[in-house]
Amino acid sequence: MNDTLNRIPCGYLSLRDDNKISTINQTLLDILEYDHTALVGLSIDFILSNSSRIFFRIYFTPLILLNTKVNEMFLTFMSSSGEEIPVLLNAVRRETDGVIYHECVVFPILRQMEYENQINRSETSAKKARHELQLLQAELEHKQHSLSVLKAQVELYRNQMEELNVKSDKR
Amino acid sequence: MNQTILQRNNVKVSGKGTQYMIFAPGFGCSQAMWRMIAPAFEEDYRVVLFDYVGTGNSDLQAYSAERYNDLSGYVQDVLDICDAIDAHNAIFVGHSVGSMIGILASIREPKRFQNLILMGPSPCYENKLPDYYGGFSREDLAGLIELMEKNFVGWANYLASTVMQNPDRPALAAELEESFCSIQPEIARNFAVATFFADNRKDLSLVTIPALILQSKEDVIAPIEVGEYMQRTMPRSSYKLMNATGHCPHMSHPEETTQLIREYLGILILKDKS
Repeated sequence: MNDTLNRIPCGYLSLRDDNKISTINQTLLDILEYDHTALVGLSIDFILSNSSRIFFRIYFTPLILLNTKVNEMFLTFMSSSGEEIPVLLNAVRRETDGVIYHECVVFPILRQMEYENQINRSETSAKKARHELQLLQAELEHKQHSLSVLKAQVELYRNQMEELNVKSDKR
Repeated sequence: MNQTILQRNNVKVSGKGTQYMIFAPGFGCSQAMWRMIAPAFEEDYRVVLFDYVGTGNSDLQAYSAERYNDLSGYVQDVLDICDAIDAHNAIFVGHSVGSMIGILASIREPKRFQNLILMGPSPCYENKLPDYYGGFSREDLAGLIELMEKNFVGWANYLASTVMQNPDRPALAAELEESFCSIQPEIARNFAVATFFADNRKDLSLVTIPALILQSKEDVIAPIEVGEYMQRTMPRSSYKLMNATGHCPHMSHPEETTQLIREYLGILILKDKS
């Protein structure tokens, strides 16, 4: 691998046809906290979270074989210390010297994830607030209704009082 | 034939044979996933491809969360198709959850099927230790559902916006139709829950149809322990450990897959020698 690819500010990974790691650049090794020799020859499963392993197997193989490419697949990688690293992965299937490779770029999205999680949290609290508002509005409507009933009753009593007054005046 | 069902499930029938060979895709994918092996059987069979309602080019209007909230809705899809094409003694080929759907269909209407060919089947993905090893903890599977939501929301939005922004480019729309894994997030979620939280272990002993289990090596989704469990539990089942690796041998190793199916069905007619 040339030095540019090795040090480029995003992860690079090439897999053999059976998804075993063929090459991996230094940037990705640093992110994953592994040595080169520790990962080469291992299945990509080794650096995926359990959930991502299933997802990878369901979608990566059909997409790369039938479409020859994968775009913006969201996965969770695992570092050697067990830290979860959310990434976006793009891949192409390419033949070099008669050998098939799945060449992948891997882009960690820790900040993006934090942002999305914040949005999700905001959406959840907005939803909760909307729900509470709806409850309050329903309560308000209920009270307004009670109030209008009461007003109508008061009106009725007033009318009755007036009628009584008129009658008593006539007497 | 019942045209409504054929359109609903985007059923395609091809081939010269008289016996039906029905191919059932795995989770979330369309019939396109069979294109590397299905044509090899067109000489000897009537090949039937289809999409479950909610996937591929099926009729999305026919989807209801109620019907498809567990595998029985998908089983009913297969039985509806069998009824529409009047299938009897068909060969059923299923991948992944498609295998389980075929197993359940064969229990309900055995006369429809002669053989089941099951690629990477699993009756239960969740570990039920100490009795059963499915490969995954409940947390893993919940994480998978979350991962799918994150991926599908993006894909669905992308597909929708690309189609809307390019109404004058039918080729692009066609290409997007080819995106055989595209599925609405809500449908994907329901299908994933129906698939990955199912426990059909009790059904295996009820199967009366002879079955071939094709187990590939290093299949993370359906590990060897699961394939062996299925063979032990299903009466009249045979088990073949493939040289192929991964969960999709019909795509990654189509020659071996085709060869093993032919051998099992005894139609290795030795055409070269005749």
